[in-house]
Amino acid sequence: MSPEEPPAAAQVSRRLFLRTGAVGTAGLLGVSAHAAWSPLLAQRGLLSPDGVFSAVGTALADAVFYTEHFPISPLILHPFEDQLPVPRALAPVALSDVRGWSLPPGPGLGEQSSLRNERHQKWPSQVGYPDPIVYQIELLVRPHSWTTSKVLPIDDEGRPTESFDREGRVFAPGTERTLPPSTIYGFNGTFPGPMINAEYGRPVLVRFVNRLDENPYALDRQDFGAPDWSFLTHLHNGHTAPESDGNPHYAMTSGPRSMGYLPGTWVDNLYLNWPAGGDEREKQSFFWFHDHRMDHTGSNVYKGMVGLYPIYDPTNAMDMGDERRGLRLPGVRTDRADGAFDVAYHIPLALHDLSLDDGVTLHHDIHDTQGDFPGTGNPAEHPEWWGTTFFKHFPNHGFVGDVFGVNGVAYPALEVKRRKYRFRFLDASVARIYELALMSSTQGPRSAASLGYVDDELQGQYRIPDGQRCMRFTQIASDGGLLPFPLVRDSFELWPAKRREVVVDFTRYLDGSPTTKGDVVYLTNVMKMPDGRMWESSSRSSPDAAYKVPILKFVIGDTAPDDSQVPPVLRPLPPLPPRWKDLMPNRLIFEVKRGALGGETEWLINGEPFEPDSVARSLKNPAGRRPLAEQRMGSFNLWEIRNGGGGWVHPFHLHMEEHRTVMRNGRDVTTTPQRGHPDDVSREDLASLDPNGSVVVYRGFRDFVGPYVAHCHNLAHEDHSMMFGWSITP
Amino acid sequence: MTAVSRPPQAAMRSEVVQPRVYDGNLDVAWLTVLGLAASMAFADMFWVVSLRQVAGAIERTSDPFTDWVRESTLLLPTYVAAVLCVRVVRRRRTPSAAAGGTSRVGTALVLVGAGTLVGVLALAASSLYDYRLELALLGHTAHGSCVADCLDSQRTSTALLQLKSLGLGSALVLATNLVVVGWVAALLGGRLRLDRAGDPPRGHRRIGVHHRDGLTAVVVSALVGAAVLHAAVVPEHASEWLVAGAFFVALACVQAGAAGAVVHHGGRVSWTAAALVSAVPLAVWLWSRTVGLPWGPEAGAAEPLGVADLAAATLELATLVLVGSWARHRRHRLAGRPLLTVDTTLIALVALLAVTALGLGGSGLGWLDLTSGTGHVPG
Repeated sequence: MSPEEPPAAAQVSRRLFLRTGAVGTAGLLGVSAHAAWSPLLAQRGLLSPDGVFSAVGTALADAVFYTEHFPISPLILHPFEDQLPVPRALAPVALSDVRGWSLPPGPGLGEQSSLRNERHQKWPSQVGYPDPIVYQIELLVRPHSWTTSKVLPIDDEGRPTESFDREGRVFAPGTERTLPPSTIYGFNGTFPGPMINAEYGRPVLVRFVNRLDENPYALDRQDFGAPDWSFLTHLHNGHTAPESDGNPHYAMTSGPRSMGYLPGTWVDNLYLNWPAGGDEREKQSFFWFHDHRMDHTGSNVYKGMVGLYPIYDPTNAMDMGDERRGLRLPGVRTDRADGAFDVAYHIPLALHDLSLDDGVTLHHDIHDTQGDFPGTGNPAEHPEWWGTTFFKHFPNHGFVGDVFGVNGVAYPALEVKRRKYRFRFLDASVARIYELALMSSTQGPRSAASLGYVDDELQGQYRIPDGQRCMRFTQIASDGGLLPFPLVRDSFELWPAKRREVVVDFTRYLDGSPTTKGDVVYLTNVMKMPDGRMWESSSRSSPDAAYKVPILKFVIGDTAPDDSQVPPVLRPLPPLPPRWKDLMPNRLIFEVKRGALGGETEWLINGEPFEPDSVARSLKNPAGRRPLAEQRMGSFNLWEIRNGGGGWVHPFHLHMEEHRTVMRNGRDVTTTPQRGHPDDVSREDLASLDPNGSVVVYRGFRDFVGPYVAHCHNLAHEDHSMMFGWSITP
Repeated sequence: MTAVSRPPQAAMRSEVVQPRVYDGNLDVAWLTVLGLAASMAFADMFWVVSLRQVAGAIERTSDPFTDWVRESTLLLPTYVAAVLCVRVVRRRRTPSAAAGGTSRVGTALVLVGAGTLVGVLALAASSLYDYRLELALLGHTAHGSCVADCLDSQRTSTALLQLKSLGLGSALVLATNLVVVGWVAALLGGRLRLDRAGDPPRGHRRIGVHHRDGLTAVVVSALVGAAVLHAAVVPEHASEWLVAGAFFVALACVQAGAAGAVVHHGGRVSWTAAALVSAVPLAVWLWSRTVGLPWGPEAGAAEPLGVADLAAATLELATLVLVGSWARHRRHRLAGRPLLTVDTTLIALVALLAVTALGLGGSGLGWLDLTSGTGHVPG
């Protein structure tokens, strides 16, 4: 042993120490990581070997790679003072006026649009219905105000900050401001657009006229919306022929043969108001119409192209808005002389979130390279747009706003009578999912900033820290119309484009005690979703007891007569074939995934982007085949939609008919739904895909032939290629 | 010390003592070498696969865990070769076993550097492949709304994304290897000994490996590796053209047979055969990748380069070089100097294994396929 070497005993001790330390450190790190990260990974569906990689990739993406910065909207100082707009039904065009049009609607060739190159596949007479009621809706550039309240500009720590105006002036921090109106592209210039109260058996034809090239108020169009001002209106989810469906698979190959109808053109969308297969059980109850222009659906919808289309069923007076007849669901109908009708105590609630420019957030995303809005100079900050709606495509995160609105107003209030109401909920957001509950609060709303919240926690602007559930919803309908039986729920999730109809009884609370005039109940969002990826907390997954964001304030008013009831049976479901599982080996399979492209994220299905002039091909099914997404008219089939992972959720929508979810995550849900998805027992047109989830849906392909689409209804995903074409063949 | 087979007495030449040149021996601390290589391989590939989730082509993001296991396994021989190279360098610089702490740290840092180099090269290759796939997809997603300058801009953005991924990945790989090597060193009690025992005593005459044994082993490995790769691509080629499938079956058999002949006979004929079964397919390969073969489904069209064929060509080229060296050595009868030292032989063998493994990864064979994903690349 040399003089330099330590004694043998010391060497052994040092080696032992190092070895023990190495083993112990590794063990400790492993245990700590498992304890710290497993719950979070499980919540996001990433607790798996593949999920770990997705989680790490997502973290790196957020931290380093993708520049998707949301502004902090100015704080609305006096929420719940603006009244909730309750739309009146749009009046149809008088028949005499329609006959006076130079190009009136009709069944002949060249009578479907101003392009004179298409015809309606089925005219109402072919299904034994009368000629359609005609409406005209114009796409207009108009200003819109989200609130009348003063606002306080704040930063991401909730502190007062400076603000700007169109003339370039700078306002000191702490200055209360009035929001400038935002520019919208609206149906008839409003947001939301018109509401058409329709009825089965009475077809409707809507002539959509594009006048977006006109800007009579010289409004700044900013940097979103279709650059060519085109539109393509889709009635979600009408049983409609392709030429009236408003889908890009049709529009790019027929009709306009472009992404949308350009300014100066019009199109007649014919809605037969006829159930699929003529089956009474396929009747639905709440459609909405929105833009579907390829690559700019999200920006056009966000910019205002939203309209409402409740549809009633007069057969046996089942559900015709008269609570004295049929199912006697809440509603008092008033027929008007102009041919429309209104239904009191029937209130559509179109939820939407928006983001208002703070003047200092960089406007930057991949679309800047496409030269959509060269005059804006993007990427750039736009202080002149302070206080107006902010939008970027943000294909990685999906777009969410930090201000919540209902029917075009931020944080509105509604006085309700002491009786039952029927609310038709619609999620008109680009990507946000809501979970809604009815809560009371003695202290009332407090701003998230005053409660010390910062960054993403400021979203929603207000909290009711002492909020308590005080009433329940009785759900009577989902996307596919009336349920077979009502469901009593403490809360319900509302995914983008989904509809839920509920009855709320404002006469008494959960505990049975009666309400009194002046009482306040808040429609409250309890799902925290800081970006469009998925929720961070909800009732079914890591609930955050502090996250109670009031969206709409109900003020209890006087007692009113109520002849309504909620019957125990509503509308029976069309039966599933007893041997539906025989279709499983030959089902079509589609997997939704993300990939990096062009410096940003693209969303693909079966590894392919949307190809408007072709149909998709299934992944290999158990029978070893990869069939094309083509179905014969009159057929039924099973389609499987898989979430390819990565920690995103996807609301997946299929056009033209409703479906039944028969399997979820590999389990039969035809009789017993899985937790979190009670609506799987009903008919829907939008499948809610949890992280790594999958569904198998059974649906028909009836009555029409031609091209349709299926896509994610997170519109940021749809616009970045998460869509595929399919078709019905003769 | 493990003894190697001694040549017949008559064949032994007088040793030339070269105290400053270490001839190498077989006392590799394989547990340490493999442990270091495996740790770095799996750790580095974790970042490569994770970054692929961010910036990778969508075809390659579907099964990250499987990809991680596969790529780490296929790259393991390369990491082993890197560690062995470090061992050789270390021994040549500090042959004394009484290496101090500075030397240990130095060894560790060199190990980190070598492992990081392999990891960064793997990441770069992966990024390049992703970029190629993404370029193919780029035109599909724009639906005609993005042309000319816009398309160039998106190509640039895609390239920048890959470069960003490469930069970040390199830093992550380096940092991880520092931790991994340090942890392994701690696990070994603070000693990173890449040799199983101490150095031979001062002045000890080293026994070199007979030049024929090392060279034979390497040539046989190259031939067998090439044969394995050619056998691996039979299914893919047979599905396109049966004649091609039969050709590769025959080629694999011939190359394997030549390897056997070199082992069992070792004479001029077998070595010549080894050269022939390497030169001819190499020439055919060059012809197919430049001008294009005049027969087959794509007659006259130059075929694209692939990982498997590049690897096979490398092995065949290596065989030709080694056969040439054997011939030159035999002709000039260089005395007292083994053509391949033990260390060189070891590294060469591992390197050939690495090339074979990588080639298998590009052969399209199921689980081994490095390019597997959803199985569908947009046409």
